[in-house]
Amino acid sequence: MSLVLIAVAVLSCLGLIFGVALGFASIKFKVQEDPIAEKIDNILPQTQCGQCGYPGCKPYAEAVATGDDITKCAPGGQQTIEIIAQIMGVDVPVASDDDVEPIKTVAFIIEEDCIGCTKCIQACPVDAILGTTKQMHTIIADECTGCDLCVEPCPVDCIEMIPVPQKTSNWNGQLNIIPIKQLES
Amino acid sequence: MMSNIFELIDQGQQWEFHGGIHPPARKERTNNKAIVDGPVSETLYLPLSQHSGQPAICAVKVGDTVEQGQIIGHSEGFISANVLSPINASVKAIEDYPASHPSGLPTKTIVLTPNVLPAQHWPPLSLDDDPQDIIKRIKDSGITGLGGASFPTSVKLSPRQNIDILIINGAECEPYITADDALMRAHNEQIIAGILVMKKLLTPQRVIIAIEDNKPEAIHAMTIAAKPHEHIMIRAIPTLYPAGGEKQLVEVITGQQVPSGKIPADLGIVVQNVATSYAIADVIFNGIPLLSRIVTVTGDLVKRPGNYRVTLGTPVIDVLNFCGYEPQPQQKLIMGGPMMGFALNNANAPVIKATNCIIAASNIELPNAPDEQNCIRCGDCEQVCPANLLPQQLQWFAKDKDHEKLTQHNLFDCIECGACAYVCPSHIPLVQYYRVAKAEIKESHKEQQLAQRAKERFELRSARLERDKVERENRNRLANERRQAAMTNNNDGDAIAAALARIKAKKSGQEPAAQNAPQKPAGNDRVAAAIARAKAKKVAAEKDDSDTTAQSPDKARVNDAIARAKAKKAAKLAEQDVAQQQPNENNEAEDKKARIAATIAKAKAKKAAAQADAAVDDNASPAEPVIEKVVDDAAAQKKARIAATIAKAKAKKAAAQAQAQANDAVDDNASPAEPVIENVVDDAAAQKKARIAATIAKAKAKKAAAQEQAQANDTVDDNASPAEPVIEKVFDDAAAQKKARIAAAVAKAKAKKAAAQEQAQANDTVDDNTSLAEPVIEKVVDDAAAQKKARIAAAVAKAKAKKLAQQTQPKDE
Repeated sequence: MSLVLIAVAVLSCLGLIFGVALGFASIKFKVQEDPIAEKIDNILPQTQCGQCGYPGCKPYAEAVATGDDITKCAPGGQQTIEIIAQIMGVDVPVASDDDVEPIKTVAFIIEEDCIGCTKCIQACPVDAILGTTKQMHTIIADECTGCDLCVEPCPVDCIEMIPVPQKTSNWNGQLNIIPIKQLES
Repeated sequence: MMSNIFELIDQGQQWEFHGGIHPPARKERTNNKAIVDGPVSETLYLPLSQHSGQPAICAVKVGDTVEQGQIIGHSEGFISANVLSPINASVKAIEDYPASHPSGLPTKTIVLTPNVLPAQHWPPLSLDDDPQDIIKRIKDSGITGLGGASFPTSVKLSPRQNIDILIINGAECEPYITADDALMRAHNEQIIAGILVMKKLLTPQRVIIAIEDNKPEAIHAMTIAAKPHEHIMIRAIPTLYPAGGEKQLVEVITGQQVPSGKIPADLGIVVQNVATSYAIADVIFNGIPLLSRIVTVTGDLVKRPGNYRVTLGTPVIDVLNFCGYEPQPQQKLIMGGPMMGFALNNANAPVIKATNCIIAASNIELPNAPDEQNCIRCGDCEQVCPANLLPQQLQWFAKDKDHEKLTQHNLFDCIECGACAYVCPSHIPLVQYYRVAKAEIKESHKEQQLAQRAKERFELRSARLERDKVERENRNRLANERRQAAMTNNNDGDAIAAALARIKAKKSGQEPAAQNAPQKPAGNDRVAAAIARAKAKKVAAEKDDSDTTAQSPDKARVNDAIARAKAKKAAKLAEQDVAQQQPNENNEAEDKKARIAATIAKAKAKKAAAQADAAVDDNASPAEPVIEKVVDDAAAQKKARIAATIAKAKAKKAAAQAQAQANDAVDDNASPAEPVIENVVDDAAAQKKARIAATIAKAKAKKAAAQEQAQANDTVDDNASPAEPVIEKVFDDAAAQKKARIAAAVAKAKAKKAAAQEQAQANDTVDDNTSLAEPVIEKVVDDAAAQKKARIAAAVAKAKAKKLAQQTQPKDE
């Protein structure tokens, strides 16, 4: 009988000790993991274009973290989808044939047509448009994310989205873009 | 440690770098050729980006005349270089022109056409000048590393670290190129002079000129030139490609490896090309900035290969033609060496600072690379890599676009020397993969930075909008509070309460109005006065506007003004005035009846007016006294006096007219109101009722008069019409109708009073004919029980009057 009691007592003590140790460890060595929404937000292209149906990149990141479709980011393209899939631990959806890789564009205001209505300024999510009432507006091309949001509100259709030109400074090393020219023979 | 190295260096010790290859040198075509001046081109093309770092900023405009050595592109940022005009010229254009770049994409280029003008040189400096001045001169002259990378020399010559060793790079390890060789043979003294300038600036403990041992003549020449300067050592290094690479040369000379991501300056070492040294000496001692450079033109398609001094900006095709160029199909046109250079896709691209060689080779001399095969993992590339990388692994990662792994495997340490591709048995263009991968990584880094900035800007904007919203709400809230506080101070709140109380009192109908009247606060009066004023103004405006109705606008306006002024005065005197109100106000019940009666009267008057014929303006005047009268009576009731005035004016005017007519035209039918009134007034008990009845009677009488006159008297009908403008005054303005109604209701009591007074006046004129009005009066007065009916009738009458007014409006207009 006393043997049984001793066994119970020893096991109880062990249980208590390990319990305390584990409890302590769980608090003391708690791993502060990056919230998944934050991670996804860092991957998104931050155009704030709203093409995903959310009012910005962060809301979409949060939606993805809570289980929304990961294929809604058009400006990010297939690459972004793959990275999100990796973070979320899901399979990469098969890209359909009509999915084309997005071309980076910047907005351009045809300045002689601008009437200075400031509507595009209010639409720009990154304050990349300069101008004031009844003054001509212009795009700060370096800050433009190419989100398209300024095109719609313009009452005189003076905003165009033009593709970023390829320069020697941003050449991607692909030789196939070089124009072929027959040298004189 | 450094002293150890110095010791070993002094002993003549040399080290080896990992890998390296021995491609055929093919320097024999040009390595014995002296430097010859190149062609003078008709047009020079000077790209603003000829160097590593930021492009220069264009400092000229089309049509400008520029001198030789004038800065036409200012350096922008720390790592950048000036662009100078190599000749006296005029600026023909500033345009996008094919770049001397593997991509061949257009870049911003200044196009010059030479002028024939005497060349002007910069004042020479000497070694005794201030180092800062020397650095500035070097910076101004736009000198960049002439070995191929084109890094701005002034930046390299002002390092933050202490420099122990200066290495002058004369290795020229790439096949075909002999430009540095020719320079060392021909201008050894000047190269040494340039080295002395750099030595002054950098104060190194050792200066070592490294020359590959396949250039014995150059070694000889340099040894002779360096002899007087004990601290300058000449080192013949083994010929092994790429010994001329900066990091490889550092390892060969000092045995030290430049760590990944560092530059030689971090080890206290600076490497400069011999051609750079020559250019420095040129600008410091001769005052000639970097306007031309030595270019090796070679290949089996040029008849006169050799080393040419080519003015910067000269199109490559001009240089080639100068050398006897024989174009061939499938030929190759290479700028730079065969290992690290690139194929030009446009022969018009200009010679720039980094152009050390132009190769025009046929397909036989430089055949196309065979098709790429699969990697067989032989590992040859790893054996020859001078940067100790794993080219094979990098290739897999590059094909997989695994940027993370590429970075982990130090892709950015790759100097793109091409040794791996040279030895690859599968002919994989490894360097091309690396270049693409590097460009992609750089691009994605840039995009990430941009995304980060966009995110910041978006968040700042969101915060700003949020802040604005809160501020706006706060502002609105404060304004609301202020308004409420102001209202409380003005007792307007009480006024509303009082109005509610009055309404209640009216409903109950039995409580004496006398209590309410004196307690009416000032605010209410003010409101009423304001309404009255507004109405008066409107009336005035209408009078002005309509030609048909306002035939004596001046008088009317004056009257209005008087009325307004009086109304104001009256409003101010509100309190006392109320106290002095007439006794008829004391009886609430009577008051109501009176009001109803007045309404009926008004309605009838309107009807009469509507029926009346087109008017002649003589009768504008009768309204005047009435108005005045009413206004004088302001003591009785402040509120909406003017409105009341107008409302009453109708009735009274009509009455006055009727009386006037009666008197003047001796019309029996027009006058009957007076005796009736007399009778009624006599009856003390029914005084008020009588008054009301009188009003009604009067109105009816008037109507009758008007009708009669219209029918019978074409000559007298002048008098019948004047009521019309008055009615219009009040009712034309549909928007003010409600206000008018309220005001009118309040004022009706007074209207009655005024009517009574008028009647009193009218009584003086004796008229016998009473029969017409009497029965009506009796009916109304006697039937006390019919009070309610009367009220309803009054409401109906009012409604009808309104409708009528609305109907008449469009007609009138």
